[in-house]
Amino acid sequence: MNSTTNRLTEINNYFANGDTHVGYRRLLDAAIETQDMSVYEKTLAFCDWYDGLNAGGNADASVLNEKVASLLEVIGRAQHVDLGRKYESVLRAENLGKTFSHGSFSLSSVDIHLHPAQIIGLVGENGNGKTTLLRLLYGELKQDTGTIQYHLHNVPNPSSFYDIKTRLAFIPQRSNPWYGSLMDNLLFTSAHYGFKGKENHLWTEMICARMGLRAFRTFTWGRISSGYKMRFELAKALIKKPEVLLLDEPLANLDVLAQQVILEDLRFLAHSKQMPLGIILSSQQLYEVEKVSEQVIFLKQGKPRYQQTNTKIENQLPTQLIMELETTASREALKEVFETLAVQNISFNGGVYLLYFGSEISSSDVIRVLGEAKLPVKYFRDISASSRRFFDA
Amino acid sequence: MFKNLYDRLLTNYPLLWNTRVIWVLALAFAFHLLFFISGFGSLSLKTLQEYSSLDSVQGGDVITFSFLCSLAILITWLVFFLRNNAFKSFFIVDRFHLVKEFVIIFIIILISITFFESYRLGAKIKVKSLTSQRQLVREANIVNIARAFIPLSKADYFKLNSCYNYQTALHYNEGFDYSDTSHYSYAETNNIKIRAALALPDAFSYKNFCRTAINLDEYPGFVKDSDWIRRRDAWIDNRQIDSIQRLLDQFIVIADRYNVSHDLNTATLAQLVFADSSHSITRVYRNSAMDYTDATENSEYINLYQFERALDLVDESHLDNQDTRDHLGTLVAEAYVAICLSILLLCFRLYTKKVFLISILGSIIWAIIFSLVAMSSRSPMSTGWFYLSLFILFLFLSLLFLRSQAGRTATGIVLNWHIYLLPFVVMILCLLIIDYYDSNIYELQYNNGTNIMLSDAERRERFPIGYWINNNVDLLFRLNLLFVFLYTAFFFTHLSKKWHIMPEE
Repeated sequence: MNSTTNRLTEINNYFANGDTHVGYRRLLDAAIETQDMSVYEKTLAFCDWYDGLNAGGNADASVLNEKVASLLEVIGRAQHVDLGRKYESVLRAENLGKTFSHGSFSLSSVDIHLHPAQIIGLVGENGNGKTTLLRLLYGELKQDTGTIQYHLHNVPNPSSFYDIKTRLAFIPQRSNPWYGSLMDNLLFTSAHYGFKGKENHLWTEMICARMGLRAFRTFTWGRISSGYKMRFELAKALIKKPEVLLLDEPLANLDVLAQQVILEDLRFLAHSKQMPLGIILSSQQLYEVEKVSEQVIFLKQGKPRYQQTNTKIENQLPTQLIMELETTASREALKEVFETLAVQNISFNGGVYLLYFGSEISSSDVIRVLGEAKLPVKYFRDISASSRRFFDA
Repeated sequence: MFKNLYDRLLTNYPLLWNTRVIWVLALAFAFHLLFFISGFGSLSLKTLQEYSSLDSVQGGDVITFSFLCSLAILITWLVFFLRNNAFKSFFIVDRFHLVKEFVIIFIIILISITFFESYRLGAKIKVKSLTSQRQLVREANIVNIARAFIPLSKADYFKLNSCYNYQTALHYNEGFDYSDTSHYSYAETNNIKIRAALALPDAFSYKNFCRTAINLDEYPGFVKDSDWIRRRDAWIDNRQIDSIQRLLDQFIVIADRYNVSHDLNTATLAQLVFADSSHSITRVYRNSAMDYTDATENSEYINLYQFERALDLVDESHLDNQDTRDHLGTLVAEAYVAICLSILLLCFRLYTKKVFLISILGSIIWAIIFSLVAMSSRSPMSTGWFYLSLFILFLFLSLLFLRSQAGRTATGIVLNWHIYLLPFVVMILCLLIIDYYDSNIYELQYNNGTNIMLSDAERRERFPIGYWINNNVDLLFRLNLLFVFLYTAFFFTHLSKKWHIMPEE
């Protein structure tokens, strides 16, 4: 079985197992990647039917699975266009530094190598340079030191930064208001990026569906929530088929569930087979970002204090076990319990404890000791490999 | 239908959708049509004599109303147009997007500020429909010859009048007493000649009249003065009273057609030609119904001004080429207004609000400084040099800043300032060259001691550029429009795109 078949089987399984929401999104991903307008037409017809189903229509699971299977067959038959994007670095920043003329803040020595299908997370406390770094990468700010190189495809004139910017997308934390309906704005954007007539409608509708905006097509800026405004901005960015997507605090206005969905969507979009995307996103949602990122850059006072990749985690064992623990037990009680595991340090920030152990101790040892001591535990997490440990307390 | 059109524009022609060009042009054309109809309906045969030209038909009221309509349309358009801005929202792929946008803006503004031109056109076409060119020529021919038999001024019939040799012609002043020996000019040669002529029996003969009331030399069929004078003389010599009266009757019909006020008896007029053997005029008719000197009503009169006004208006309406030439200056001025407004709007579209506001405020300050320089300067040309220097300075700074990528706001401001000055750069350059040319000519003619006037050929030979510019100022002003248009559409938008990608700090 090739990768396309595997993927279609995976989607079919989502629906078969009742995971229709994720199945629906993956189905749209697969359809979008075909770049085939006839597939788009059939997919959108399915979306109409599916929306009716969610709106209270009656259909049993077998009808849904039948329709999905039929659509997957169409997607499978479609010729999958290879846009020729090689898995080389699309953005390479070396020794990037920026000092503002006013104020004492300075960003320094940042190296970023972004590849297609890669997500880099930028984390750090407020005012530590996340937005500055994103704006540098997008060319909104001028770096004082270092270089930024873009290696993008489908750029008419690679030496023109204007042309390069047609393939970059930057979504700031606060977007500007727009006028008219959501759909008109997306169609307008599509038309400017070469999608005309029916193709424009189909492409825009597909992106709109993928971003979960179908129900808001006629809504104006004032009528949609902050979360959907973010989705709109994302849809607008995706319409132009960018190769690099820069997101500043995309999770800031989202509820917990929406955060997970958006991050999952970003992961799926980044790993698109035909249109892989390099994504850099900044966020305060440390654990969520770590889950989807191949690399995390922790910025503290403008300096990249830590750069971590998943591959490194697998290959390199941390030198210390650090557990984050939320409990009503006192520090003394914890000290007593974890004496057996030779706890090195216990710090408390008012909400959670950070417990530091030697590298020979594993997280299961800690859980075992906690269970034996019957301490009241609300939450715990192994943060040994997480940039969480670099936050104060 | 509207929904389909809206959808089609949005998905296929986003620029047309964004600029609302279809809707605003449809509205503007509707206004043009209304103004055209109003202009067409504003005139009738009876009212032609109230206007001396198409410009006077247009009048101040129409222009004011047209201005208010333009304002209403442009404001409404801007409300919709400024809702979307692709250039600021994302990086447009189409290389000529801004060029097209500028062209559309210019067209919309030009069409929306020229409603009164449609009024003028409507009036012009109405006049042409009321009196055809053939009829105009026929009427002018009648009026010209009939005019000789309706004395409104003794001076027109004086013997020493000449319509062919202006150098030897002597004008008779009705209010002057040529027999007054105490007057200092009594012994002047011309007065002696006039006195000698006054002594002749035919000093004020009908045959002496040679003034052409309506000149339509450009039209086929028009009877030139030499021809009608010969015809008139033949009628007088052959005592053809009936022919004269018939002609005068036709004249009255035309006067009635144009509602020209008159009180004339054609039989009397015809007989008066033969009142004495020398065919001298024996009665002078009045030009209006009211005698303003003593506020009494005249019994015999014809308002010839009304006649001339009506026929001049018809003449102007038929002379398309001449009218276009005469009216071209106004059209060029309108195009300048449109292009200046378009540039202003383009800057608002392309630059941030901060840059635009600072550049506007800065421009006001520059204008004040400019005015102070102009007022304090002894030579008006130094103001021109100051203007040119500013333009060059701003252009140089713009290019320098863009190259060094320093100061996005400052770059935007100088870019704006340079384009605000652009429309008048060529004009000022021409004026400076003409001034230089004139001062050189003056120098050669008066300051080298020879005091000899340079001939046209000599001027051309010595100062070919200055001579050519001096003789083609109108053409240069028109060509400048094209230059400003192309410079803004291609070069300025190109620079603006470069500015758009400039980092902030």
